[in-house]
Amino acid sequence: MTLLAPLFLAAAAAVAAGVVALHLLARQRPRDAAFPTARFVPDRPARAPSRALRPADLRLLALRVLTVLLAGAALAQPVRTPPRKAIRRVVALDLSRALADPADAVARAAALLRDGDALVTFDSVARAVHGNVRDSLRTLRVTTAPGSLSAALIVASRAAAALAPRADSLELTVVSPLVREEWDDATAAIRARWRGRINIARVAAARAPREEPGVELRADPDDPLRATVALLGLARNGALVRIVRDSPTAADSAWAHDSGGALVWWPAATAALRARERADTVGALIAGSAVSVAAWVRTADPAPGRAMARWVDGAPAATERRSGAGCLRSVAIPLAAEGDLALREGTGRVVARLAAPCGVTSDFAPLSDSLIATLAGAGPALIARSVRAAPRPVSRAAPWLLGGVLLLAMAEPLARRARRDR
Amino acid sequence: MTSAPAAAGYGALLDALRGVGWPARLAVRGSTPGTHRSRLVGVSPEFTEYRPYRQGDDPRRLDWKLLARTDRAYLRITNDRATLGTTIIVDASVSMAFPSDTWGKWVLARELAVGLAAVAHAGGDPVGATAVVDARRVGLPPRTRRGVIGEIGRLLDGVRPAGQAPLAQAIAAAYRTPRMAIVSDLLGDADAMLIAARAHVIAGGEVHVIHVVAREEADPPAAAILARDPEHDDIRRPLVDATRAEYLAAFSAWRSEQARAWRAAAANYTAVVTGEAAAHAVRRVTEPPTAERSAR
Repeated sequence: MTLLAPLFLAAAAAVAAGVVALHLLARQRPRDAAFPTARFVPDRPARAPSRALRPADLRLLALRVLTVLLAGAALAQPVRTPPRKAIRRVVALDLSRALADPADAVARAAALLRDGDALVTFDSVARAVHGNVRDSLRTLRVTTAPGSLSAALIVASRAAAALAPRADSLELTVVSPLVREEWDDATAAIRARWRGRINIARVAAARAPREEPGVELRADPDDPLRATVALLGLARNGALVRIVRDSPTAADSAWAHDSGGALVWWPAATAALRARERADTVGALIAGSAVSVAAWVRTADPAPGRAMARWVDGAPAATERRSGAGCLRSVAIPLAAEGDLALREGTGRVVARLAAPCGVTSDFAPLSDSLIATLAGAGPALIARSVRAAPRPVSRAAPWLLGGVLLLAMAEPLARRARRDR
Repeated sequence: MTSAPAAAGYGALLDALRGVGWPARLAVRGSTPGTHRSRLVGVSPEFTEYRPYRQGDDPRRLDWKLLARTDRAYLRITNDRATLGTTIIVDASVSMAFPSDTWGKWVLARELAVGLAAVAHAGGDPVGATAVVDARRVGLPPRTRRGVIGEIGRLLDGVRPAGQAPLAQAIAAAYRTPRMAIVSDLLGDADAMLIAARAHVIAGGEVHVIHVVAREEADPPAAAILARDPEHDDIRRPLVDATRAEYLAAFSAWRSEQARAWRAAAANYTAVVTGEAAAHAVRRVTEPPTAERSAR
């Protein structure tokens, strides 16, 4: 047992001593006792005080001292100090879409984990699993998100900081297929902050889905967007991106949901969308790094969602939202049949951006040996003392102690009243 | 209130009082032969002296044999002896159950009553006892038969002090008994008692007052208390360092006043503090007045 703020307990002890002193020095009402010759005692107020040489009401004194000490103990925040081990492990388990055999990965992680070790699961986001990690392993599910070793290393470092007071050394094991899409520009720098060896438990990687660029366009034959798509060379039946210039059907939505495709609803008549209060003209359209400068006539707003393209004043021009494995896009960009707007290069780049597949491209190619060697590093396990102290733990006993203080504080007036009535 | 302390036997007390007498303070009127000097003269077989016959004397008291021998008329003078009925009146008010843990006052009062009764009974006097508890009187009329001391002991052992005890009524009710001994702390109807006792003395009776005082009353413990009168619950006063001296002075003055008032009423006043042996206190009560002692 350790006290996070022992000074509070010391202060409470001092206050308790003061309470005892007050009880000793208190001028209090004497004890009631039968005394046949009481009539010869001078008739003065019955509450005349007298100095006590020893605490008169030990019960009340004990109640008060206990209240003060309990409050001090609560503020001192006692925490249970777990047993210290020579080495503790942090296991980072990959649950991203790159995992071919999740059961194998979980089994490998379970074999590594012991009582008191930490588990970190990650795909594009990493999470530290608290409590009974062995039970948690049974409920883990693989996601469709890409993995991120950077996120895993950051969260593993935090978990290691939490384990540091309970171990001499810390060992990090990464259970992952280690594919290229999981390594980003920051990974090496984040890895360098872990000043110890990292064990690699490599598992089989899934096969990457075949993704070929292309757009399936459903539009009138004289639709200007056909020219743009044709210029980009993207027109292809059966592609993973479907642009619908009329109204999308339930079959379209189901296709996007199940196949992971991108359904782009770009109505030729923007009246199908939610009309703006007042139509206006803006000078530019921005989609990622693509910019199209023209006199765009703005008449409607896209459906709610994450903005993919914005007008130059910041208002969204196209939005996207997830739908199962795929995504649904709403585009409120009027493309006039007159003029050469659809044929301009800037417009083409915007269209190419809006016709990109959902998410990012899968890259399940294995990491190079040099990157794996960088990730693994060399030397001994991380020395626990070198890890920056974890955030101060929270005392679980403190709320209970404060509850006890509350009860005692409520009992004190009752005890005082009972003493007065005696 | 705690339970009554177990009644101890009175054997040791009675042994200690063996041979002690309780002579009447004045000549008694009774005609039943006893140990006390009687006001009657001439009928006793116990010869004292001769006196010349005077006109008016009863001729039946003439010593005819002396007249025949000497031809002088002399009366045969004798001193009569008579018994003296005695009633012990015991205060059993709740104030006698003090201190609350030992009931020291009540225990001493019981022993005094039994001791006085035993001494009187040993002199051949009829003796009875009356305990006044919670405004009720329980008692035994004066008797001379054997075993009456045991009955008095059992009677008092069965009494638990409670409530108030108006002793004046008990004194008035015992007017037929020439001698009465009142065992009380005098914290009840003391003024009424004094009036009743004075009337009894005027009527030729003899009154002994044994004032029982607890040692804790005469010298209260140093600890501060809120003193509560057990007979008057509305009296609650702090007995602390600041009031202790005034209390002691007031209590002492009251005791002195009681002694003076009772003695002025021709009663034999004796103060007994708990802790004094009952036998010793009984000897003090039954001791004849100084003048009588010197005359003997």
